[in-house]
Amino acid sequence: MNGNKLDFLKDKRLLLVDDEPELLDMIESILQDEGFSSIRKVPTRKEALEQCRIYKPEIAILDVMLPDGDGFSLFKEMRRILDIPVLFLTAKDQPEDLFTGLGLGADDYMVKPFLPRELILRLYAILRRCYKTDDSLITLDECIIDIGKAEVSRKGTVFPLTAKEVGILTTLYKAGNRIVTIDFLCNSVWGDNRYGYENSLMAHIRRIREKIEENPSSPALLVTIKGLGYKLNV
Amino acid sequence: MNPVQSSIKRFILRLSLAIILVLTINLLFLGIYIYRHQKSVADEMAIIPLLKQFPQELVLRDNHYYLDSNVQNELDKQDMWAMLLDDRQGTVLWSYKLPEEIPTYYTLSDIAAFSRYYLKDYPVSTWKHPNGLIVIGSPKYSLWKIAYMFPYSELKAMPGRIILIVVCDLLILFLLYFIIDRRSIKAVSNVLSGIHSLAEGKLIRLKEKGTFSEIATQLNKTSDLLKTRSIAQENWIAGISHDIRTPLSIILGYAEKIETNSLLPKDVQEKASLIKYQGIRLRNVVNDLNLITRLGDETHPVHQDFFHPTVFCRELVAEFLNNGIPESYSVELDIDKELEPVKLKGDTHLLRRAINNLLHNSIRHNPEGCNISFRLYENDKQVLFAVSDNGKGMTSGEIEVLQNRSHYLSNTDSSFNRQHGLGLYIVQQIVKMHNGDITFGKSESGGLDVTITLSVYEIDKE
Repeated sequence: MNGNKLDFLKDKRLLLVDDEPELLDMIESILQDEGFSSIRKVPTRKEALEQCRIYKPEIAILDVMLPDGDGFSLFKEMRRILDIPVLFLTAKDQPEDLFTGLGLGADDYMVKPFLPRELILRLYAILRRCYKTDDSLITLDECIIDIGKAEVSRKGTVFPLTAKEVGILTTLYKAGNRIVTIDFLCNSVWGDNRYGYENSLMAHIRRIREKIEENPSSPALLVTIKGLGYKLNV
Repeated sequence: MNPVQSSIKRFILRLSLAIILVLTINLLFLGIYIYRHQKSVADEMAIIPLLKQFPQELVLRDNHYYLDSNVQNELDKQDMWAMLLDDRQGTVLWSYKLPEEIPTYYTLSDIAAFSRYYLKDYPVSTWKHPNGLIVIGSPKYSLWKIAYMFPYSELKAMPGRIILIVVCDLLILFLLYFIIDRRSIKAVSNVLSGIHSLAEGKLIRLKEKGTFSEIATQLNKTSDLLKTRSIAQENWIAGISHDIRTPLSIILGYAEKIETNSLLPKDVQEKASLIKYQGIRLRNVVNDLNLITRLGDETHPVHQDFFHPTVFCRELVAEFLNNGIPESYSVELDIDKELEPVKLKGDTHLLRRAINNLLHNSIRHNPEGCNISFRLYENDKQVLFAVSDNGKGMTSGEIEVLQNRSHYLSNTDSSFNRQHGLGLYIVQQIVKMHNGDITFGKSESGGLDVTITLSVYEIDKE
C-alpha cells in the first residue's frame, strides 16, 4: 500500500481488547510493524471501559468472550461513552454471532484465526470510511484527485469531475487496490436499482480515465477486471 | 410390505399351522379310540359275540336246556343273566341266574320295549334262537343303550356340514384374533416404526402406553442417548475448534511477520511462509469442522433469502481475488447475461462457502498452478454454477466415489477422504440443503469440473 497518503490513519488511537495476552502482543506487534503508533491493549471489559474514558481511543478491536462479560454488551456500553468504529475479532464463527455483532452496529466482524494482512486491510477500510482524508486529496501516480474541489490535476493540467465521477472514484478509493464489483459501484452511485446503469457506468469510467490516465486506452490506475468490476491502484 | 403387514402374515401362517396340528392330533386320537372300540366289540368277551354263541351252545335235550360251560363262565365273569323266551307264548323256557324282579311272562309290546331300552333297569340284549328269543341282561347301569333314527339325506349331507363348521370355526378364530389383538398390532406398529426411524438416524418420541410400553420406554431412552451423543459430539468439535482459533491466530500472525521481514535470511522467510501456509490449511479444517456439525443437524434453521446469482458470483470472485491468489493461478468468471434478472432462494453465507471450497479445492490439488473457470449459466429453469480447472483432475473411479458417498464420517475409504475430505463433503451437504444437484466430472482440458444446479426461484420484472 502506498505509504504517505494513509499516514494520518496510522496516528489514530487504537484499543485492543482480548483475554489472551499473547494474542494482544501479536496484534500489537503487527500493527506497530504497519506503523500504528498509539496502541493500548487490555484483557478485561472493566479495563476497556476505563480506557475509553482516559485514553479515548479512535477505533477498537474487541473480542466477544471476555473473562468479565461479553464483547457485545461491552460494545453497547462503549458506544454510550464514545462514538468510535469497532471491529469484532472473535473465535465465535456461528452466523448468529455475526448477525448479532453487525446488527449492533459494529463496523466489521472477523473470525479467528486470521492473517495479519486481512486484519490490517479491514482496519484501513474502516478507518478510511470513518476518518475522511483531512485534505480530501487522493494522490495517485502522476495525478492528484481533490475530492473536495471535484477536480483532477495531472501534469499541471486541471480537469473538473462530475458528481457521479467523484462518487465512483471515492468508492474505488475506499476499497483501495481491491476489486469493486459493478453491482457495488452502481449501488453506491445510483442507489438500489442496478439495471441499465452498467453502460453509463462504463461511459463514466471512460471519462474518468481520460482525466486521470496517462494513456486512457491502456489504463494503469483504474483497471477493468473482466466480468467483475474495477480496481483503483492507489 | 411394511413390517406390520409381514408380522400379521406370519402370525396367520403360524395360527393355521397350529390349528391343523391340533386337528390332526385329534383325528389321530379319534382313530385310535375307534380302533380300540372295534377291537373290544370284536372281542369274544363282548356281548354280541357272546349272544351269537347261544343258538349253538344252548341246546334242548330230553326237554332240558343245557348251556355250554364256557358260555356260562363267560356270563358269570361279566355278572350277567340270561333267559330264553318262547316265541309265541312269551313265557320263559329257560333261564340262568335270573334276578327275582324280572317277570317270567312277556307280551309282544313288553319285548318291543325292552329290546329297545331296559328291562327293569337292566340293559338287555336279544338274539334269535331256534326255540325262541335269547335275552341276556347285564348288571344295572353297566351299559347305556341309545336308540337313534337318522334321516338318510342328513347323513349324506354330513361331510359338507362338518367342513362348513370347521371353516366357520376358523373364521371366528381369526375374527377374535383381530378384535382382541388390534390394539397390540397398533402398539407393535408404533414400536416398529420407531425402530425404523432410529435406524435412519432420526430421533423419536414414542407413547409409553399399552402392551409394549416397556419397549417404547427403552427406545425413547435409546433415542435420548443418541441425541445426547450427537450434542456431545457437536459441543466437542465446537469446543476444540474454538480452542484452536486463538493459538492458530498467533501462529499465523508471527509466521506472516517473519515471512515479510526482509532483514531475515531468505530461507528463514521461506520456512515462515510454509508455516503460514500450513496454518491456513489448519484454519480451513477448523472452519469446515465447525460447519459440518451444523450442516448435519436438522434442528439448525437455514436462513433462506432471495438473491441474484449474478451479483452473488461477481462479489464472491472479487473477494476471492482480493484476498490474493498466487501468480500461477487465474480465475475467470463467465456470466450469462440472460441471468441478470434471475433470483434464487438460499443461504448465501453457506453457498458462498460452497463455491469458495470449490475454488480452493482447485488450487489445493494443483500445486503447479492452473486456470480456474467459473461459469454461471441457465438451462431449463435451472441455474448452473460450474467451477472447472485445467489441472490434473480426478479418475472416473474417484469421481464415482465422490458422487455416491453418503456421510463423511461413515465413509470407510479414509485415504480418499483425507484428500478430498471435508471441503467437498461440505459442498455436497450445502447443495443438498438447497435441494440442488451437484455433479463431478472431467473438464474439457482434463481437469476437474464441478457443477452445482439450483432451481430458479423468480425473475425480476423490468
